[in-house]
Order: sequence, then structure tokens, then C-alpha cells
Amino acid sequence: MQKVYINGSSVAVINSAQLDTTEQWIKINLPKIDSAVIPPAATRRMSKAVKMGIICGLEAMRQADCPNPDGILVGTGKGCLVDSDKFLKAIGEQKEDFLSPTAFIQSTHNTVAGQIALLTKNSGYNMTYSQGRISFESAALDAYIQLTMNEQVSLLVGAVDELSDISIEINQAIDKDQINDTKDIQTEGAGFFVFSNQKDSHALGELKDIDIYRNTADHTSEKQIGEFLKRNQLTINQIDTIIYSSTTVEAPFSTGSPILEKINKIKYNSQTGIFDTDIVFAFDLALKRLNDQTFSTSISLNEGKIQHDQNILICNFGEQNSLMLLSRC
Amino acid sequence: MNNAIAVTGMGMITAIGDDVAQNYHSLLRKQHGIKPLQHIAGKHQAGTLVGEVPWTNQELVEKLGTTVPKYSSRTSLLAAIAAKEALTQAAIAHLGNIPVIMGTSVAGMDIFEQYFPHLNGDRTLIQRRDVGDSASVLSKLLGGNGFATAISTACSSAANAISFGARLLLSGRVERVLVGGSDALSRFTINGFDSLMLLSDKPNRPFDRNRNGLNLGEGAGFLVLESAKALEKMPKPILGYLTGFANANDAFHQTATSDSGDGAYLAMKEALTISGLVPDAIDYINAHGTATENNDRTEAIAIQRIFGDNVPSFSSTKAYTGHTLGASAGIEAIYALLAIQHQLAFANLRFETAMEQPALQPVTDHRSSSIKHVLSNSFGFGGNCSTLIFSDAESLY
Repeated sequence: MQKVYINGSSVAVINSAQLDTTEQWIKINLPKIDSAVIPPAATRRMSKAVKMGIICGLEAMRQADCPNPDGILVGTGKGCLVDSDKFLKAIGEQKEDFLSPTAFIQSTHNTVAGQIALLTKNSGYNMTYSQGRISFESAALDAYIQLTMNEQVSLLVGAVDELSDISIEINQAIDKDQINDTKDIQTEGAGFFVFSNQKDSHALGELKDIDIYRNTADHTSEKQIGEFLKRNQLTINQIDTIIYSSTTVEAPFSTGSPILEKINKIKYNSQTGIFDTDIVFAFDLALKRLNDQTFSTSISLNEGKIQHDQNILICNFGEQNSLMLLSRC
Repeated sequence: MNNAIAVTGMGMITAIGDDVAQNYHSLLRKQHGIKPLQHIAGKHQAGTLVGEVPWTNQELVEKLGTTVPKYSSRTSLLAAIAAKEALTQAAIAHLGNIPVIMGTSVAGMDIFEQYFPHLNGDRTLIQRRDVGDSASVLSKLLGGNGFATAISTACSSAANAISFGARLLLSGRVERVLVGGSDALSRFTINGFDSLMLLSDKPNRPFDRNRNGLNLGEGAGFLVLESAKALEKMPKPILGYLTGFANANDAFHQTATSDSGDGAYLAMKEALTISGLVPDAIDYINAHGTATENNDRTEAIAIQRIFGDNVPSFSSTKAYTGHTLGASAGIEAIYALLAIQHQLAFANLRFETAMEQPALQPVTDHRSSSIKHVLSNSFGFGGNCSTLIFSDAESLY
């Protein structure tokens, strides 16, 4: 079985300073796309989801020095929400008459993966997963399996989710009638990575394993983490940091396992807000820590101190859960 | 064959039947399901021709015989009916932790759009719109507690779901998977294809020179795939094997295919390589064949590039069911397996005149012959091209 390395990493999330607000929805400010890469006329038609995908995707490929990966895999919880909303609204307002197809064409969930392929002339494997908060992990699992089985050598793997004004309005209208039980700020963002089964000078870390599962009464996350680490010949005290997200009501580490208590834990959503595929931020943060980089925002619990992390466990707890193990390579 | 991927269950619902047996009999009788739209109110009702499942949502719930979550989408109901049939055939009483991989293009849009934009003030509808919600609901409706994920690559979604399920088996992570696709007709997609001027005002005529567009359809098709290890533990009848699967990108245009059919060519070529078969071994092609000007021409070009002068029997069954989008590859995977089971290449309805270039002639009457290997194509927006190859149970041993 081949090993899987991460050779390039680029994320776009909001600046954490933007979270100091009473707003419940915050959009990301995107840099301009170089007109040499895409003509301005074309970028004007592109939704933010596509733009974020292209910016991060191209940057990850540049970092990895991998201009033509064997395929492109994208996860997205909500897909191309802006164009989908736009077309829905037009159907209603125009009573199904004289509709322009543009929004419909761009509303398809696989638009981001398709547009990156079109832009880079990539005729390889092209996949789009949409499964709520485990959309990125679904894509990552597919890539991981293909690379370990040596079906492919390098794959661009990423995720993107955008906010839409129409959806924000709809949500706000509902919130007027219902008590909003969550204080989480909804945001948007993207993250792309080059996965490869070849280790080269660009390698940022090794993706040792990935798992997606649901909890049952007799199968808790702690039990699953134990089994997951065991199959990777690791014990919990060899994990230096756990980076996690949780949308469940019960606290994921509440049972007070003494070893678990000692491990440095980072709940990253306080820095990124919430979007379906925000786990890409955790993935990028883990890679930075494995390479002794302090993070630019105040995310680290021990700010300024280089961590020398060897093994990082990324956990996503929700309706379905995921575990990803990243190690120094 | 340690790497063999066996099909042990199949289930479906389409405009031409509520289960696999009914679908087969409709195919045999050349009975199509293309009729004026009934269930969606608005401009297209009673006028636009579609391949619609004749039952209301309430009737589907009754067929399913179980309680369903609030605002369950038609996509989820169709999926549950098809998946239940597949599990029953595979003698799987409880889904348990068997993964569910579902292909769909718009999932719960059918229910979401009915209440848009006010949504009855109910957050559940926002959740129902999520493509992934349909896979979660399906898994739960079947009593599952395992991994569930959805693939959304437009009209090739189900083919890609079947392929990912196969990879999960090959990786040794699991021994059984439930895979397939489901899509309900929605005002969203009907108006989308109408705005693209791709809808025909007549029953569609795949590969005919005078074809003028597609009819949308709805339905679901699911398979149970099992590894050799699973079958060692619990032997059961094998309906066929998935021997080839591939996906490639045309990288040409968001909605149109390239003139040389590059993506389709690459997908077919790679699926053949994986199966270890030479093109001549393919006995029947269940084509994507949507009956749009662009698809049928470029698919035929790609088929000719692969098969040269020896193009096998081919047809598009979308003349019967309409184009069921994200479900089509699940439905057509079952038609491919039925072709092997009954040694029959299904007739391409309403074909009269061959296209000018290439002048390929589909099967116009059911053709009885030895069918060991069937190739099934599915292509979608975003240049997404997928090919599956199914083989009979004997030919592997």
C-alpha cells in the first residue's frame, strides 16, 4: 500500500478579526484573480464558490509544483448556492418564462471541479461530493483510497462553500419566528491540497489514515478514536494535538479520559466561523504545525511556541463524524 | 478472483415500472413512459413531456410502508423504494453499518422549491435542500447507522457513486456497499433544461438524425455490491460483476461536449483497461444517448473511436424512461445487468434515420444474442464522463 503525502496547501477563510461582530453572517474578501490566469470578462460571470476554488486550487498546485494532477476532487456542502438561489428566484418572479440558463448552468454542484478542469485542461478523474459537514472528508477518502492503491499518483483535493444573500434572507426570516439556539457565525471559505503517493521536497505531511462513521449507543467517538489509532500503531499519548470541530450538543471529550485531558486540543471554529467544509482550515493548520510554523492568527493555545508536533488528529463531530491522522514526514 | 465486485441485489423505480421485474417487462413490450407532466403545478404541467413515476408522494410513502421524516423529498422516497428492493434481493435484512453511496443532481430540490422562499418558516426545508441530506435520510430510512455520502456530478452522479462503492470494497475497508442514484423531477430542472432549449416537444429519439432534444425523467436505481470475502462468509446468487469503471473530464465546456468526444473516449478506454477487456469483447452498449443534438453526435464519435468498424449493438433506453439525470446510471446499470441476464440488447425506440456523421445504427428491435459484457455510459455537465462495465457471472471464472 502506498503512502499519501500532502504536497501543497491553500485555504481561504475569513480573517478571524472579522468575527468580532454582532453580525451572524460574514462574507470573505477575496483577492482579485490575476487577469493573466483568467480574463476579467470570465471572472465577472464566476460565482464566489468558483473563484475561491480556482484561487486555492491553483495556489495548492503551484506550491506542490504539480500543474497537472491526475484528477480533481471537491467537497461542497451547499454547492453553488448563489446561482442555485438566483435561478429559483427567477423561476418564481418570471413565472417560469424567458429564463436565462446562465444561473442554472452554473448551479450544478460540480461546477467548481469542472471549471478547474476546464481552466487547467485537466481530463483526469473529476469528482464532487456533497455530504453536509463531511463533504471534504468524503473527497479526501476517495483520493486516499486511489493513492494508496496506486490508481493515481497525485490528486487535487479541496472543498468550497459560499454564502448567498437570498439564503441569508430566508434564514433570517425563519429566525424571527424561532429562537436561534446557536451563536455560531456563518461564514464561507475554501481549501485545496495536493495529495500524492510520491514524497518529494514539497511534502508538508503524511495523511496516515481517514475514517468517516456514525455514533451508535455502544459505539462512541472515544471508542472509534481508540480503534483508529490502534490500526495505525499509535496510542493516544503519541498524539500531540487534536484539532476539532463539533456541532453535536454533547461535548465530544466529556468522559474525562485522563490521557485525552492532557492532549492539546484546538476547537478551531472560534477562528473561522462555521461553514460546511470549514474542516479544510483544520487540515491546513495541522500541516503548518507539522512544519513548525506558528500560525498568523491567535489560534494556537500556546502562541508563539513552536510545537514540534509529530502526530495530529483532526476530528469532526456531527451528524456523521470523521477522523483524519496527519503526521510529520 | 479476489478483486471481483459482485452485484447481489438490484432495485429500481422509473416511469416504466415500480421494480426491476416491471421495468424488464415494459422494456420487452417496448412500452415507454413518456407522457405530459402530472405532478408539478405550473407552466409545464399537462404539456411538457416527461418520464414521470405515476405515483404521488403520499402513494410512494404507502408503497414504502414505513413512516418517513417531515418534508421527505420525492428523491429520498424513490431512493428508499429502489434501495429496499435491492437489499431484499441481496438478503440483507438490516442495512446496519453498510455504507450508502448515492448519486443525485438536485436531491431535495423538489420539496424545497415548493415552499421557496418562505419555507413555511421551517428550518427542516433548508436541510432537505442539502444534497447530502438525501443520502442521510436514505440510510436512516433503511435502518442504517454507517457512513453515507452523496456524489453530485450532474447526470453521471450514480455511475460515480457505483465506482466509489467499488473502490471502498477494493480497499478492503468494507465488504458490502449500497450504491446507486435517485433524482425526482423538479420545477428547477425542468425550467433549467427548458431554458437551455434542450427539451423535446415529442417523445425523444436517441441517435436519430431528426432528434430534437431530451425528455426529462425521474426514478432511482440501486445495487448491492459485495466483495469475494463477503460472499465466502455468506454465499448468495450473483447477478453479475462490475468489471470496469472510470471517470474522465472532457475539459471543453460547462454544458456541451467536445466535437471529438474526448471525455467519453477516455472514460470508455480507461474502463476497458481496468476490466482487462479488449473492445471486441463488449457485446452491448447502453449509451448515454440523451437525444440532444450534441450528446448523441459526440458520443457516437467517441464510440467509433473506441470500436472502429466493429461497433457492438448499442441503444439508449432513455427513449423509455426519459433522462433521469443523477439516477440514470443507476437505472441503466440494472438494464445492463438485465441485458446479460436475458441475453438481450434492448431496442432503441423511435429510431428511423441514421445521423450523417457518424452514421451509426442503434439496435432497433430487441436483439437476442450472447451477451457477456455490457458497457454503460453516463455523461454530465462540467465535462463529467463516466463508464461502467458489467460482466456475467460465468465469464470471470
